[in-house]
Amino acid sequence: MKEENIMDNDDAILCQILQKEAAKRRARPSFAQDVMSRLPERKSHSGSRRTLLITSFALCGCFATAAIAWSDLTRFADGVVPLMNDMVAVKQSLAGFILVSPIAFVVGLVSALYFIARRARLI
Amino acid sequence: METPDFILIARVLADDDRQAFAELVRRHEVMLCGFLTRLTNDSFLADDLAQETFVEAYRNLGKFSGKSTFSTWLLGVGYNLFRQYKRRKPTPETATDMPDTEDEEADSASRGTEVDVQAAIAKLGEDQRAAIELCFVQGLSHEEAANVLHCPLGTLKTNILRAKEKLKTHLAAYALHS
Repeated sequence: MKEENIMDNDDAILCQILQKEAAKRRARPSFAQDVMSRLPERKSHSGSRRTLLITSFALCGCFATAAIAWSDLTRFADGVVPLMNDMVAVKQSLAGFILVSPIAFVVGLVSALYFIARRARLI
Repeated sequence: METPDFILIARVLADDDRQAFAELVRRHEVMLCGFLTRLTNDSFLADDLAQETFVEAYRNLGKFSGKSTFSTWLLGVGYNLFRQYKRRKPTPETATDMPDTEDEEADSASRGTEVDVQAAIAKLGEDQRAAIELCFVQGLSHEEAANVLHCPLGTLKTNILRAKEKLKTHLAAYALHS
């Protein structure tokens, strides 16, 4: 019992009796074993990191794809989106992505960093 | 030298070190079982609730902020589980592990003051028992005990005061019988 709680002699006597009784309490030998057998499996950290990386890449990929598609749509007046195996178009798209959609890039990056920070318990 | 609790907790969180968690269980089981036995008046139920408390603590160890000691946090988890149990199975308070009133009155002379006190505490209300146990046995400050029991500081102090008044009355009766 902390000093601030002690009010009078009766309290001290009561405290003494109760603590004497508490000192007699004994641990059950198999208690810890029983608890350990009931513990759930915790998700491994390597698994969590893998999930985190995949999530981040997927998120960046989504934003990049959206940005590329958007830049292509604005680049070609007829609105035809070039196929991704067309290297020229891809290059143009990437250039368009970097130049035309920096906001999308920043949003994707910030989101990925936010997810990483959350999972790493930094925020 | 004994490894501090916070290092064991860090090991559990970082590497899922089950040996470290087992050590935490061994360190705090007596304290937690004692508290829950006092609340339930049933050592078997208290044992089961204590196990559940440790499992719950393991699940939510990441939420332990370190503002209080681990044992205080654990008592809070245990008390929450006890309240959940009471909501699920609202039963009248019984003193199964404590001596019956008639027996205790008849044999109080031979049992001594400690048994009298235990029996008197068993007659207190649940909140009062919890308050007495936390402040007088576990050695928590009033603020810490109020946090564990999720009640205002004034309520806790009132509970302690009333508990002490009741104890005095009960113990005076025992003294007369003995």
